[in-house]
Amino acid sequence: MRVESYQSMPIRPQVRDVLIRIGAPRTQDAALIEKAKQTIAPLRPYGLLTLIPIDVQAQQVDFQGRVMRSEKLARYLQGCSHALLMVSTLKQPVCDRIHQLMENGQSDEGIWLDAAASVAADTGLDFMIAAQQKKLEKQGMRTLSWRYSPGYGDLPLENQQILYDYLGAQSLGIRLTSSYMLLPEKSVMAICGVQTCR
Amino acid sequence: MQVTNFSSLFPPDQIVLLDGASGTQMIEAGMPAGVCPEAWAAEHPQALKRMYQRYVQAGSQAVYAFTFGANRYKLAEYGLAEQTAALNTRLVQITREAVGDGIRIGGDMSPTGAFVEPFGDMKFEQAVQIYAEQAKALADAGVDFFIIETMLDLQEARAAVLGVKQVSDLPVCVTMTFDESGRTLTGSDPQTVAITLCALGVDAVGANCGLGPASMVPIIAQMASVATVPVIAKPNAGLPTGETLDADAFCQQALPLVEAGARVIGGCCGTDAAHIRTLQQALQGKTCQIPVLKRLPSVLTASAGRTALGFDQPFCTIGERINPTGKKKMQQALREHDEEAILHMATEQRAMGARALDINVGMAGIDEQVELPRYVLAVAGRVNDMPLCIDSANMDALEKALRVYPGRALVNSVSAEKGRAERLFPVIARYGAMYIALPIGDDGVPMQAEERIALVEQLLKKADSYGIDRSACVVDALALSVASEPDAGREALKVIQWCKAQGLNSSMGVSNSSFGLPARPMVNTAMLVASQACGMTAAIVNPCEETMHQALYASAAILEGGTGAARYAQEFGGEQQPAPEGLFGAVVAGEKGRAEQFTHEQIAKGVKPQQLVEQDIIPALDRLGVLFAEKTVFLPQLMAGAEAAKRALAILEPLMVDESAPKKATAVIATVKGDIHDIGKNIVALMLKNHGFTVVDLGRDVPNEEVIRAAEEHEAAVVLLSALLTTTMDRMGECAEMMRQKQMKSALMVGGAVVTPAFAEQIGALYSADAAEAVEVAKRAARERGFAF
Repeated sequence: MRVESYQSMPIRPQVRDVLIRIGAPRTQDAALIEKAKQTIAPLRPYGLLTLIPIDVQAQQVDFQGRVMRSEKLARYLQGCSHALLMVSTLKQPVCDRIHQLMENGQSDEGIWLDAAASVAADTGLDFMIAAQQKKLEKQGMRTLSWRYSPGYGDLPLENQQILYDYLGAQSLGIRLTSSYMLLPEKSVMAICGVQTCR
Repeated sequence: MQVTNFSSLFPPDQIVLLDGASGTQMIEAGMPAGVCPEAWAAEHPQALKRMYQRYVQAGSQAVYAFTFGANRYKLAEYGLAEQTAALNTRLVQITREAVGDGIRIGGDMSPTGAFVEPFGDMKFEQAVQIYAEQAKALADAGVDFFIIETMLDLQEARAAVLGVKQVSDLPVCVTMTFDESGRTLTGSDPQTVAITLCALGVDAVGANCGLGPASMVPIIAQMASVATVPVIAKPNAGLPTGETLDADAFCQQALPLVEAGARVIGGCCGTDAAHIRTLQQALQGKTCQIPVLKRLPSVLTASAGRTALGFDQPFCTIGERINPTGKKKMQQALREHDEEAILHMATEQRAMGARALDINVGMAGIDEQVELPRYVLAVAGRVNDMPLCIDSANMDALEKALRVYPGRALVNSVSAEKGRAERLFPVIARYGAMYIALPIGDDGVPMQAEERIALVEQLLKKADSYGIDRSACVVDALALSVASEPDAGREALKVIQWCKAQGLNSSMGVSNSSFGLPARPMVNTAMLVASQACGMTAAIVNPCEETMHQALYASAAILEGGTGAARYAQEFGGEQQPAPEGLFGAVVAGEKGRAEQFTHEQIAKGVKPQQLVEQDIIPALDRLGVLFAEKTVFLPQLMAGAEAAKRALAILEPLMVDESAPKKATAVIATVKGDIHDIGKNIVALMLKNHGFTVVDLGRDVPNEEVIRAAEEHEAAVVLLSALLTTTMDRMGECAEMMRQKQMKSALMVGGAVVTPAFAEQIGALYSADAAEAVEVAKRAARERGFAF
């Protein structure tokens, strides 16, 4: 199973998403908008992605021998023959910088960077999906329009272990805590269903 | 004799008609999902032949061989990597059997699916070799040209072009896929694509897939405005909205592509022979009126941006800071392979208005042939919209860096010293770079302008012999120190004036002019502005140096008319906020430095510290809380105010030690066991401190036992727990139960993204929705426990 690697992804994030995260979803304040733009501009996530055949049953999904038990996930992947497994991360230095700002009297800057880093990590997932679209289309397949992550609905967080193992996420410096959270914090995993198109 | 010009494959002055979709055609012919399309097609030659024959009958003058994914990397997914040559050969053979000798066949190549450095981990050379292997098989099988299509990333397109050119002189065409924003996936706009690929020597450039014909028109127009080769348009009939255009609608929307500048046209996903036939009929007698440019404009490119040089363009500031000469920090960063430090220098210069970045890593102990390409890629990946000026005396290092640079670079530099031009011009021509012409010969640096001009003319003539147009040249006027050469300034200006008269771009390393003088920044800015007034179009400077930064914007306001003035106003103007009044105002405005300043002033005037806390700081924080609740200010501004208050309190608290003050309430705060998120917790901790609490922050992933222990030890008035996940919330209920069993007097408060008022009530805890509310709830709880707030 081939794992594709993405480095320094040239994402095009929605600035509005950063503003949502700082609690200003509808602001027209030019200074805030500019600050959001400037903060997210240099952020470049890294990522891993693999395409895996799946077997979708009523209450679980079998990922080539590793099973995720979740009725909601099964419903999401209904009709899909494959799934994209992905991880996107901003890596440790960005997280260290956030902590540094929060601890050194610049928590306002820390909050901006925290918000921007979350958006950037998330947008990395969108980038990887978009990069796969054309290849899948040529094979008569297409992705679902949204994605699913462990921790959503009834899909327990420990299923991150399955993605972690299939992707070899440690190669990006990512660790799983004992409660199955990802470190560095600005890392996110996701599943995107792939179905045939006729 | 091999044809090396794409246009000469077809009758002159006609619009060339390509074929339509093939993948969707094979699916309709029964190709199942998930198989290797190329292998299936090779096993079902009749289906493939029928498709091509339909297109030829419809009027296609050229078809693409069904070799789209037949590169080694993609075929390996199906265990067919070793069949690469055989599969390509067979598929071209089937195509030729179908169309005969009168129809041109394009050897079709496409993305591997992996991303090439700096955006992926596939090495550039690996990508080049993958494409070279496929190209050789296609060339040997008898294709008439190469078509590298549906490319998402300009760097991979470059690798493909270089791979093809490594093995064949046949014409090579490239089309990229743009989305509704008008950019490729990795952010390239149409003009950046066209300039980069034309400079690299492609024979045609364009766009395919991703968009319908109407949406593709502006893409084609932008490409045609700068391309020195024919432009190709191959849009979809299937639109992103889900609609599919029938043949008539497709044709109606496709004809404007010709008006926009497409000289080669076809269809992509969703099109069939009917679309092509209708197009063929509509194109009878039509020609493209947009001329193909004879020379490329003087434009540098990065993968997602470009910088134009010229007398009608904004001045090109080339940031000089990535250079170890005389810079200890940079030298240390290079020795320690501290890539982040160098990337930080790049992003800083970009933020200060640089329009290109010079990158030089030459120093003792550094292998430039390894490090220069490495840092060029790293900077190009991080600052992907800013072209690079690749600076080295090591010609081998320059070549290696140019090869991997994902754009059109500026080479710093080509001198008139023996052998340098002969070594570098072929490399500059091969990679389509621009170059700085350095008028230094074997006799050293000429002092007189006339001698420098003579050397420049020599270089231009030599460049021309390598097919490099003078628009690719930027003349270094040579800034020498006026301390040692009194006429240095005037001689440099004469060179610039000559360049202006010749229509040549010019530049200089401005800071050289002040070497040995006091107040160097002032001399540098004087040299800069004098040179700009004489017509200099670029300069290598430090844009982060305050005086230079100001001078660049100010001179733009004077010399560049309205646009320059607007940039100046944006940089230094903007809405002037009135300075905050007093300590209260400084805290509300989040101005940390002013808060400290006002605090010191007030103390010096004899104002009591407690008074400042009670009459300025706390009311300011309360005011911010109100503004936050009204959504007039948001979290960052709330925190800026909190940090300003913290700075003021840091000055005041030591002065309040001897004053009789009531005992502070203690708040113990933590993120629960199993949870690592702490931003929200940190915000609340700071706010509580500012509002007079002693805060014991236990950090994150804290077991309940530790929380209880700390609360008992410090006689906490309030315990605050934060959790971000539903799976870790349960720790809060457990802690509440432990506190009840111990009959602890501390109030328990809970918060976090997943915590709700109902949950808090269920476990018997207090709830707060955000940091400002947390302060109010904590104060109320502390008052109930006998603390004064």
